[in-house]
Amino acid sequence: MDPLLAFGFWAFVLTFAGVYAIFVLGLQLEVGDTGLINFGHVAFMAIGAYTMGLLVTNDVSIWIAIPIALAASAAGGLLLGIPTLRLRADYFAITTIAAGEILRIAIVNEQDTTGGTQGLRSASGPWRDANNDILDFFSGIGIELDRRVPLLVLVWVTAVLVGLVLVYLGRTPWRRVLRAVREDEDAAAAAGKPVFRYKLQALALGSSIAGLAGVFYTLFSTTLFPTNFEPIFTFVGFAILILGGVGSYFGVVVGSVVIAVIVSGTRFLDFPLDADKVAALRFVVIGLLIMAIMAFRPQGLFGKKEELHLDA
Amino acid sequence: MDGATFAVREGSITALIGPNGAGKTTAFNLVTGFVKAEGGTVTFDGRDISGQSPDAIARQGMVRTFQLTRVLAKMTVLENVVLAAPAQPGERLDTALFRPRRWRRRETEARQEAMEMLGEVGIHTHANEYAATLSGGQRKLLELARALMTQPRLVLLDEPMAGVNPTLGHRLLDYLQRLREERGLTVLFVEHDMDVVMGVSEEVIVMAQGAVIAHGTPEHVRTDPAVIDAYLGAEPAIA
Repeated sequence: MDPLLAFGFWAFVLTFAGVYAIFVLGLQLEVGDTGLINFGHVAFMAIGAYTMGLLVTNDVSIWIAIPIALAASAAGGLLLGIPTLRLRADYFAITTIAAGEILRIAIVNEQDTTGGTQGLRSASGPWRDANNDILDFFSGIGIELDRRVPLLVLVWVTAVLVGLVLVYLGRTPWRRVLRAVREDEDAAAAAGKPVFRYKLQALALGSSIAGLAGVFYTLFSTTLFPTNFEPIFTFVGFAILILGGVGSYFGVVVGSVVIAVIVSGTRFLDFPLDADKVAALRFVVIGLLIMAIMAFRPQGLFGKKEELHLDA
Repeated sequence: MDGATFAVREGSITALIGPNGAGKTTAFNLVTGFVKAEGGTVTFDGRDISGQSPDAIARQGMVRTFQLTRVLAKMTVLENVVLAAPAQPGERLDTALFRPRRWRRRETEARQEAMEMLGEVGIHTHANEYAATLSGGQRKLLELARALMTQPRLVLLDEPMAGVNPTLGHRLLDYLQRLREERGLTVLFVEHDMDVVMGVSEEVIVMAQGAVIAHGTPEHVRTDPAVIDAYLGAEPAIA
């Protein structure tokens, strides 16, 4: 069948987009709201994914594994934040990318537990059983669903819920302090706000949201590989952030779909090129897209233009 | 900075003066915890607060403004001031998320107080504009409003009048004096305009080269030979 028309293929692309949307919502909280340039965001997704994977392959129920995975990611955020969040923004950024790589390389080397480069297998097994139950339930009431539908729906419902919680939080005094920290740490401190503690909270919460993306990544992929969690994943996340607009949660959703279509959705196209060249070409396209956005719409698709020129 | 020992009497309006580079701003930074001192102690309201973090010091009621204004550019003027409202339970993540009624009530109050404060400093018409759009003088006023919003007991104002038009400046001074009467606010301010210094302050501290060289009433200070010396032999511009 023509892949353009294959439902399963697009379900795959959009599920991937949903995982990215959750991932970048966490990034938006850190970068857009608090001003923490976190280049190691993917590390917290890896913590969530591997915690989930290791627990379910050891016969822990999915519903117990998920909260543990989120807590592990948040704890990872605290662990990284305590020594690094007192650093200036640019030093913090460098430290995060290093921390992310250290974690990934540690996963590669811890072969006995993580499977190393061979991957962590059958982590999505328990989900497949649950998925079959869901499909059976629907066929019982006369609806035949594609087997990829439940996860697609689940990941987007979750993304929307996380987005709504963040939008709600956006109107609270808590987020006002985060924005004050982003604008000027000294001014926030002079107003009596414990700057470090707020940065730590933002990083822990953002990390647990990345961990949630990791949980879905585990359900989504048959095998977890350390190469899934390379820095490029975070940078594509930043591309989504820039495309959608820094500060806009809705922009994250739209940006995720656009980028996921470019990254995964172009697989069906028959290029007269080698596969690895096509893969490289995709990132060239993303790069050009970001350049075009910067040139013609620097606030992103849904960012606030008036805020761009307001750096006092 | 060495030998800069001084005391500010509770309920007083005290000026801190001195030639450029005397260490006035550094003194502010040390006292409010923005710069860690190598030695010495800072006592506030009978308690030793040396080495505490700037936000902890601010929460105890000692609040400063900056010479080079630090407004929160991409927040509105009103938000800049509401931010400083004390006792907002919604600044805790759990309360913000799960107990909206508790913080919404305080938020309404705080917005009202903030609007009144903006009215007092004369920039209420800009309440819903981004702080970045304010002029230099207006930013000074915004900083002052933000500092006063914390309900401080001691404010340290670093050149509060610089760039503010004189009419508004005098209104501010009246306002500060009123706050002192009503709330027992103590004011310590750095100022170069000697008219203002001599006109409103009860006590004057004079610094030069990182040390306090004189401390007393305006009359006492203006005739002190050490002070005249510090200002390069020239008499301070006293009208």
